[in-house]
Amino acid sequence: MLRLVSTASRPSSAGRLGKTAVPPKGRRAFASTSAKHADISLTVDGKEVTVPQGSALIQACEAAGATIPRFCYHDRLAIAGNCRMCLVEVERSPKPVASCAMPAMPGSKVWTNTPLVHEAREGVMEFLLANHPLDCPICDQGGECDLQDQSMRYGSDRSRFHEITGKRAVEDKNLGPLVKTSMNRCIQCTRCVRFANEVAGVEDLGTTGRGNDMQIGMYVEKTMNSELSGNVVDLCPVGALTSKPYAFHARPWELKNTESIDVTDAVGSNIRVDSRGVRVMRVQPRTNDDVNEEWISDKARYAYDGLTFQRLTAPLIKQGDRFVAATWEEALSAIADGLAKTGAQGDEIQAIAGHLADTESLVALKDLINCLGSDNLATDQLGGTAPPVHGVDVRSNYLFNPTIPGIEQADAILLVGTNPRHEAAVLNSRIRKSWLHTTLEVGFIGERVDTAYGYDYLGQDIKAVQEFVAGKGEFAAKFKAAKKPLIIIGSAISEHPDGASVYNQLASYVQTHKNKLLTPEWNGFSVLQRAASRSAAYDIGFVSSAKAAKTTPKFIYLLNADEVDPKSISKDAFVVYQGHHGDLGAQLADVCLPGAAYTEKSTTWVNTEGRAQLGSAAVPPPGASRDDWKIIRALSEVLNVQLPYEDVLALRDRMWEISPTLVRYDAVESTSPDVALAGLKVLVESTKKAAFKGLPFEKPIKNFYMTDPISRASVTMAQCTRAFTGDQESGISDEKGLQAAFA
Amino acid sequence: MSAIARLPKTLPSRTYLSRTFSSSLPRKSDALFVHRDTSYNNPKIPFEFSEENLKRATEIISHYPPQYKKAAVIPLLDLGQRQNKGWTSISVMNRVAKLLEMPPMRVYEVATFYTMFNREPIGEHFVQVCTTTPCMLRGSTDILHTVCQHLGGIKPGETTKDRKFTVVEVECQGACSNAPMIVVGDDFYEDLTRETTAKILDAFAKGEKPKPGPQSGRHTSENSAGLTALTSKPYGPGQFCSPEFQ
Amino acid sequence: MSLLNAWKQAALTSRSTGLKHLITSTRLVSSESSSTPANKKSGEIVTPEAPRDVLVADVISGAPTELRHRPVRIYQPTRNTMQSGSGKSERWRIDFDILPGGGRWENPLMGWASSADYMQGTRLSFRSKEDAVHFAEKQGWDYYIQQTTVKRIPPKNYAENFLYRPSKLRILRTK
Repeated sequence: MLRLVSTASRPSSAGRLGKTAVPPKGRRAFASTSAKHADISLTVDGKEVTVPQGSALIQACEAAGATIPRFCYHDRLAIAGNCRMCLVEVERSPKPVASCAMPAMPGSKVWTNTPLVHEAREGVMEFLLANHPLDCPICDQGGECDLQDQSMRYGSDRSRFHEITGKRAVEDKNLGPLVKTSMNRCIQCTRCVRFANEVAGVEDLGTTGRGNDMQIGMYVEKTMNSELSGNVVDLCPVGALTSKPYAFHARPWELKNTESIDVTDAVGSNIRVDSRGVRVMRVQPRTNDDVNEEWISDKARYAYDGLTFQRLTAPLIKQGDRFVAATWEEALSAIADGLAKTGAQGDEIQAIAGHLADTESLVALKDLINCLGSDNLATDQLGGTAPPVHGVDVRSNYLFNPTIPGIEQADAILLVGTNPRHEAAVLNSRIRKSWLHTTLEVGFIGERVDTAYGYDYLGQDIKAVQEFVAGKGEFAAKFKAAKKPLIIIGSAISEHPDGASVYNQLASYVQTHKNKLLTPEWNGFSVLQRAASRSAAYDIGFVSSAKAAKTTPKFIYLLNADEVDPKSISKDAFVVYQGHHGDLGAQLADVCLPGAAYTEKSTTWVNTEGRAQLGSAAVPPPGASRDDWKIIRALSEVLNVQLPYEDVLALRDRMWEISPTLVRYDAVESTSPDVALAGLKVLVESTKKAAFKGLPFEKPIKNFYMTDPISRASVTMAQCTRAFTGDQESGISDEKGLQAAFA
Repeated sequence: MSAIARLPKTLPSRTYLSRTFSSSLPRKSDALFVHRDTSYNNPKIPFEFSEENLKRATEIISHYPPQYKKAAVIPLLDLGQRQNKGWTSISVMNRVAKLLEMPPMRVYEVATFYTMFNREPIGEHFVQVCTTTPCMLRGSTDILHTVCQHLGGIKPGETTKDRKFTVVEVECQGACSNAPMIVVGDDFYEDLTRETTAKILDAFAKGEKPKPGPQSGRHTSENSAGLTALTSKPYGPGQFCSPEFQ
Repeated sequence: MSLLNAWKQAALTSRSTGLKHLITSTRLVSSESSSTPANKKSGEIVTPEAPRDVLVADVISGAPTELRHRPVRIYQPTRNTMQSGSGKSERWRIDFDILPGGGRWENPLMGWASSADYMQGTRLSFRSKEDAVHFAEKQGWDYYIQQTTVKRIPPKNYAENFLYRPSKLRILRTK
């Protein structure tokens, strides 16, 4: 049941109404009474219900437990009021009332289940179906179509329309490789238009024409260039917008739903993996207001076809210049031999964790490497072999402290060296939402990008940071005046040569302005991670000691590490790659161990806020591949340093020992301001002597659609790259190549 | 096999040429509501407001609050249409969008919604024939027929070969008391007959501009048979008042 | 092979622990303990708290042992985002993590999905979380409970579309 929260993080409409409508000089204005939220009571179907003032009638009806059919109304979009399906009867109203466009009035009596309402719904349904083609059997929405369901439930059993002139015919639009259109089916609810306009920030979609000829489109020929475009497929209540990669692949009733966590970025969007047999058929978002609301990025949604290409399905051992398939036993003993042969001792044994390493296997690998007497743990980013500048002792130094819903409270945001639109697309839509609905001001330092909201551009290198810290410039003044300012530092900053200096500047800025930036209610210092495993790696201390970072490794264990610089790996080192795709990491390896991808294992993921979430396996890993932590556990036995956990629950007990936050699922534990302040102090101390070169901050993600082995193996993502980013990295040069890729 | 076996031995002799069962015709719209790049209409063709029109545009924009500049979209599109030989090309829309700082799609929405924005080129003289009920009752079907025949047998919506005339059917223009009527350019020609219609068109073809208004000799929409009421002299100020007000 | 060994060993030990803990409770992994207990609505029928010393069913039922070594997930399914109806999201559901290894395959000729995992299609629905927990405990299954997220929708207002804004507009609304 819908619970209305009047103190919701998003500034409420009533509040805004009050804010903007009350004139400053005490003149009595027209709408000045609604400044405070008061609760109002009304009766729905004889049931008394109390909702915050300013709610729509449809919300009140929902709160009373009455189901109101609707097409155009959507909880997370503006109200349009154009489908008329939500008609209800209100006392003393001469005709049925569209409950979405009608404010709930105190004391009114509403009926949602009377003959008048039934008749009204039947009438609306008849009009909607007058122009709707009868192609349910060939429509991909079939089985999960609002129009289908509601016509069965609320519609009449016959129509009075026998149009000699036929049904409206509308030309299909090309919205790119993700969204398939079938515009004849459109009922013009304009949900997609509102989504594109408000949430995605691509104001290209609209309605052209009028009356019966009205149609949804872009007018000019254009694709929908947004990293959130896939969500219009979900929003569409009919089959007008459907998923192109999923077209004619499955019916919803054939699919097994598994609720899981997305790993293509560090937001940890909640997803539902729909699978049939051994294949993931599609990925859908799962509503979670604390993380992704109802949206997921296109990469999260469509990269799943990469799970079937380029997979490692059997252990591989390099013989000469080629890989030879082997059994697990052979592969594991080859690793043991390799380790013995290189004679790697202590810190010469290195483990590098990649973007898609799950927390369980990170813990197991860290334990294994530590058991082997090494402290050389690295991450696969630029400079990942050295201990990170922000340190890992205090969580608040590397996490997104205000939490994702907290963004909506911020009234000034400074983005440093990050493009959230590509690094955390869903989080970016929150910033846009807040920017649209409040007076949020955004400042930006780094390479200029289109963020889907306006920003003050401050510069692209450390000079801009210094000027900001010194309080120069208009934005610095605005930031100082803000009540809840927020600094978002991109994960690329810690990889940048000037990173230490940037951290130093900003951390000392936070220290001096701690009365606003670091209060018990608000921590305005945040780092936006972009790799799904990074927060977890830092949480468990998967970083090298200063001493270990200086050694040249002779034995390197790559755990899902595909972003490593091949040059950094010495030729005579023995390299083991554990992962699920034959990507860059596997090419460097002497032994490849096939692991499981995120849809194939039930593991913990820690997102950029430090929120631990449990994913779950939807399909079994292909071939001989196994759960990652089990591989490491098995290897530990072969290496005679048996790890003390035998099932995943014991491993999670071990995680609890390391940090209880890792197994407190779905919760974010905030760092207390004192600890956070201490962390910043350490940070400032450690980076005091940092020099800087003044190089510009570059965006770390050049191509949003290909950031990890899964999306790089995905055909859909390659098509998106071609359609949206101008084809540098798609690897598909012409139509013929594309055909070949499909074959 | 079994399915075939169950079929009757002899099929009915009537064979259906096409499957009529539940097939429905597509009902297409009368105009295209998407843009197609053509040689004469594409975003690469530059459009810039003339200096005088730009001044007028600034004047129009100044009527609205600065953050609601978008309110000026209809007058500005009209201004652009007038400058662009009577039609609103995609470049005009883009220019207006830029001037008003609107996303172009918001301008396209407006331009496609209102039928008086022509999104295809028109002839020199734009003839709009009203065929709404009052005009129809007064014989607008005939007038439309006359116009079409007189311009060389074109159909409503078409332009003559010499690109002088474009004829369209329009809905009520609000001159019902002088029905039937046509609009040429910005002027109304009312109280038409076949002959007067032809005369008007001929005059336009010759480059003249006939006098707009009723063509029947009426001045405005007064009774054509002469006045029947209010024929006496209207009384002036002070008449019939009590003495102190005289 | 050693992987298999590890797996077997794990199975063995957990079986023994399972036996050891027969009368006590099974392990519970969830954040439940840290959060506040779910508030019960007054009208609802309250299921009595399951007694903690349940006799696990498979001691006598003869259910295959693999069943016990697969954690089950107890959760409330979220609404399908493809549709606006919220049906079936009120119930609590138990489903099984998939069997690791080659429990499923695709028929090479037709591509039909086959499975050796008889629990993969099994889904159990319960009216309340307590029912589900009770059932899982009775069966001796390891379970974890996934928290239900609360939907937060601010009051919405049609009039907001037409609200006068004194500063520069950040969005031009349409429809």
